[in-house]
Amino acid sequence: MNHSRKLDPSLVQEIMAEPGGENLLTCWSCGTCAATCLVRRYDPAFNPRKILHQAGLGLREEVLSSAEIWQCSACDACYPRCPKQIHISEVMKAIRAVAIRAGYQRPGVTAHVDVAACIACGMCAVACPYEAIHLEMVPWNGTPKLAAQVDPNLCMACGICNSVCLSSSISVEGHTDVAINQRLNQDGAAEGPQPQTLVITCNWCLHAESDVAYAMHPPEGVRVVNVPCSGRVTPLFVFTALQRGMDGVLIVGCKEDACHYKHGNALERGRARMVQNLLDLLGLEQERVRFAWLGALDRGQFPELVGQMMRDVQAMGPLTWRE
Amino acid sequence: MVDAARHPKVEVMAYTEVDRVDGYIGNFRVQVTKKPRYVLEDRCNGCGACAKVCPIEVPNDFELGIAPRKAIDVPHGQAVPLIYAIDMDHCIHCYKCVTACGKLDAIDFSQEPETVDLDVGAIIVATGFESFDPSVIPEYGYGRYLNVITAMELERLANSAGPTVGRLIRPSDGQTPHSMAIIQCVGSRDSRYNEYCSGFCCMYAIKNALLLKQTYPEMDITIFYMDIRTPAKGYEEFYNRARHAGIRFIQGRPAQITEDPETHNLFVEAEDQALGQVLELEFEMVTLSAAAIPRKDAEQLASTLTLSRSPGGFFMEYHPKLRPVDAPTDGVFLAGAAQGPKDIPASVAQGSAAAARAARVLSAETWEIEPIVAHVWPDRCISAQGKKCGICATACPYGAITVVQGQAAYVTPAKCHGCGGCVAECPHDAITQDHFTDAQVVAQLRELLRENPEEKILAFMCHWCSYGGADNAGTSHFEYPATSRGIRVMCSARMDQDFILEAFRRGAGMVLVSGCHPQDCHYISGQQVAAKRFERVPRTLERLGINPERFRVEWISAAEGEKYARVITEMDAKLASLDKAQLRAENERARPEITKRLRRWATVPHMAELLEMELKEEVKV
Amino acid sequence: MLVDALREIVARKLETLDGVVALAEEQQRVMPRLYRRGDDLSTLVLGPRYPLALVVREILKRHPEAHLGVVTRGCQERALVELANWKQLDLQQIEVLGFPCSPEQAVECRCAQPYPQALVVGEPTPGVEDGLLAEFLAAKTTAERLAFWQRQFAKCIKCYGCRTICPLCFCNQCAMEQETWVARGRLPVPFPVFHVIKALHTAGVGKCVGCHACEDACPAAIPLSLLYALLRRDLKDLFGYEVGAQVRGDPPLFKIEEA
Repeated sequence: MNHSRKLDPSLVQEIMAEPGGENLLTCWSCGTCAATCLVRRYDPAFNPRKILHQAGLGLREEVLSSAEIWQCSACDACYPRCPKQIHISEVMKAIRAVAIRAGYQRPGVTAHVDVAACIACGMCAVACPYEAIHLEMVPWNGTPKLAAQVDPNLCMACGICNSVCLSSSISVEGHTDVAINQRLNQDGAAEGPQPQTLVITCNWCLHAESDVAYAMHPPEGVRVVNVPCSGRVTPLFVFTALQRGMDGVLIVGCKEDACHYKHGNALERGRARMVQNLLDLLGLEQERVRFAWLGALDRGQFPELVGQMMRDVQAMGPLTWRE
Repeated sequence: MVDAARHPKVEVMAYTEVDRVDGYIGNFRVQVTKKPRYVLEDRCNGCGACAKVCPIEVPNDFELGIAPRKAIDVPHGQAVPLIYAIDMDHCIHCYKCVTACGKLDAIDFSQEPETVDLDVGAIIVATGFESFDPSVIPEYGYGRYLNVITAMELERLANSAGPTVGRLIRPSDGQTPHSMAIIQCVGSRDSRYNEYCSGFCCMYAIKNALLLKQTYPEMDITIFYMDIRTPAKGYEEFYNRARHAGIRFIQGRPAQITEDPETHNLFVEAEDQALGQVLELEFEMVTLSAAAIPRKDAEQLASTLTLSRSPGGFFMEYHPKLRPVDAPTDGVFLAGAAQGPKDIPASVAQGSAAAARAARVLSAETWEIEPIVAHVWPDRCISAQGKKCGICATACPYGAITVVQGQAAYVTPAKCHGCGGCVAECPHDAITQDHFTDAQVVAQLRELLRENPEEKILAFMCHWCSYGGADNAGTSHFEYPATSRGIRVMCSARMDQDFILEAFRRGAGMVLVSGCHPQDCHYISGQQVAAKRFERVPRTLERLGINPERFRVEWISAAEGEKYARVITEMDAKLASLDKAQLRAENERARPEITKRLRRWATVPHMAELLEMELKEEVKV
Repeated sequence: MLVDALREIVARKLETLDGVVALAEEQQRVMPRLYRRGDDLSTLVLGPRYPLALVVREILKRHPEAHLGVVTRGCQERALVELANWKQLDLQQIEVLGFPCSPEQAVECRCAQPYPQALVVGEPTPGVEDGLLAEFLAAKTTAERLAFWQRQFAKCIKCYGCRTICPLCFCNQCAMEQETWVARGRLPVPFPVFHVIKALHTAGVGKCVGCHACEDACPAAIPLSLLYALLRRDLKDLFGYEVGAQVRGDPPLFKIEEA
């Protein structure tokens, strides 16, 4: 088996010439980023240390054609821990820029705009953590129309754009409003033991294997639904769930600045207060809706969190105002 | 240590602090303060009866707070001298100790601090190091998780003279752990805390692992590392022994440690790079090999002894290769970890080296210094006239200049290393440097620029770096145009702004000032003084109507012959591109103004004739 | 009289503007009207309150090059500001010819700023505290609140009047008409999602200027302004956002930055 390889130093130069790529060679492969990375927990093929090392070696084809270089979501959990203080997500961005120039594109699902429905208000562009959306003139029915357009190479499919779009014009396949509503309210009016507790959890806040296992097989009376980011959860999901059969809703997201998609959880924290206040004004018992934020060091707390919510909802009993 | 204390020619003054150091090599006057022990040294026999009865317990620093000591105590059983001392911050004055001491009557509550003056010929600084506190690293949980300890704490727990009499126990439950993780490079090799490698942690981690394996053969021990550094004699073999003994080595820096709140066991998550997998492993105890850092009082000591500090904060040696135990101040030497983290063999070697260097001083009748020292002309110094100045003292990296208002500044020749910074900084031209006087430099300028000055690049170079660099260019056969003319001074700090102006007054086409890179300056901070001065020059030139592109500042090391050649080539090209007639016109226009500015210079001895200026009587400082 | 002064101003402005939007009283009915140069301005009236910003918005959608004046109150000026923030119109094309509400009108709307910044006649009327909101929050228990809103929302006939008349409702595809949120053909509307959508998509995102057009339009007299006043207050308390106060060029994104 021939293992001889061609190492291309010009790849290194190219990456280091991109803004953000300057520190590529400073990395000495300590592996702290790989051990921290949340993406890696779900997809072991993604290894930021390995990517930087491959890039540093100049393995041009391997790096630029890989699917992994597109997976970093710039959550920056690794950055504060890197002993060389390399802003790894910026290096990834630099590598992607080189890849785009070489004709590569991000694989997989990205957000999609319904041009007919779009009113070009710009909210999705403001909300997108990756600045992947811009308002552009696009052809539509013979005349150009101003509408949001998504750069697929920048989009991380978090769905935050969908959560802020008031006219339902932008969505990510698999996590549309319709799809999520179906998952939240699969049987319409709840069958099974009352009261029912709904848990909406983001993909990234469950850090221990036991937490993930619990989420996949929750106890009776609890339904767990996954969304890419807690920021995807519009308050309407909460009210709809209550209206259609859930007696309590727990939304779990990432703590503080640990959001996998930069600011999704901050958005949700803002909404949390408003949701609680609106529930209170409408007389809907704000204790039935709870928001919780889990950090990397909160491993193993998910079952207790859910258990407590379940007990509290049971104590409150089923909703009285549902028709 | 006992040998040292009993040596007839060694006086150990423990519990004493250095307040002040004056003087110079061979003639230091050191003022120290002996702190009061409240125990009479000539009566106390170290029996410990006082400590037995003392009711007050406080954390023992030597045991890193793991074990207590009394308000009257010694740091540990092998302390030299074995004389007790009372910690007055915690003593409650119950006088039980006095009673216990009995007939010996060694306790004296009336003791006061005592100031002692020492005349010494040489000083050795061997003040050691401290340990980095890992509680600032949140992801490792030190200070939050009970069973995460530092290597130093492990040393005490595993030590048969320590607080647990050598039995390793977990802080959470007092049980001996069945498994231990040791994590390397905590606070070392880390841009956030300390860039450097602490050097001895790999070895002591392996040592601790082997010691534990010896005492607890069934203990599961894992060392998480980035690199194992075992460079010295026998070290690599030691590492092999550890691997053979079944100690596990995982190459991968842990990202975080989390705790099981019930068992207080710890989960260490790290990527095992050899496997290419992230592992999460459970341990009953974790030891952090924390960095060695300079002592907190290093700053203060540096100021007392006029020592400089290297980037990591340890005391700086005169030269890392050629004079590694000399401090920049003559007569002061460094030994051990105070100069940089190192292990015992290296520290002992350095100690011997420092002793030998000090012995040279003590055994000499006289001491030879370089003659290129600075001295003040008292009649020109404005401090002598009662005005407040001291600019020279500020520029001196060695603290060699004393300035008292009302008296002329005084340069202690034994402390002066001859950088010339004070000479260039003095606004009244009141200091000169032997063998590098203003007159000597200006004489060179005059000759070098006598013919066709507009076609020449006048290059000022510092002896240690850029001159060496120019030399290197020559010996390496790097070609460059023959338009440059060089003047050597000891340090770029010596390059007076007036030299630059005089060069232009003489009609120079271009002027280059060059010196060491900031971290290389032979005179520690000379380059910094120069750099700040040169920053102001372009504006001055602009105001004089001289194109500032005719002036260039470059930092060139002695090995950078290529750079020197390149710089001169670039400047030559630039010079060729400038309109000669305009250049001459610039010089003409600027000449009268520069002459006016240099008027005062003409009052310096020998200068009037060299500058070809008439001395006006009215010039007063 | 304010209205006389205004008519004169409008006459002058019509020399240069393509038109002025105002209310006109004709045949004993008051309706929005686009006055052009040369029109008889004696029909121009000030009241009652009406969401003229919506009219401006629609005209500009069809005539993107037009320059219009609008004779209106504080709330509509704020509506125009927010429409600009949400990129639905360009404020450069609009000149507000503002007048203050009367003190009685301010009390009726419980309005904190019953006058526009661009006042061309009259003096700013002092703002009024929202006593109704305070009273509601203080006096009613959770159960009473629930009963209150159940009763109010039960009256809803799903006419979409509140949505249609709101100057800040401009979506092509309205969430209130999406089956995934609101089942078709059910009356009364299931409590409470239908009304929560309207509340969160206007007041909840900083679009509600408190103009009361929705409440005025509602045939069932549902106290919508009370519901929206709470969310407006939350925006102010939590995020410091004042609806209609500042032209930013982008819609506001509300994040809580600290934990």
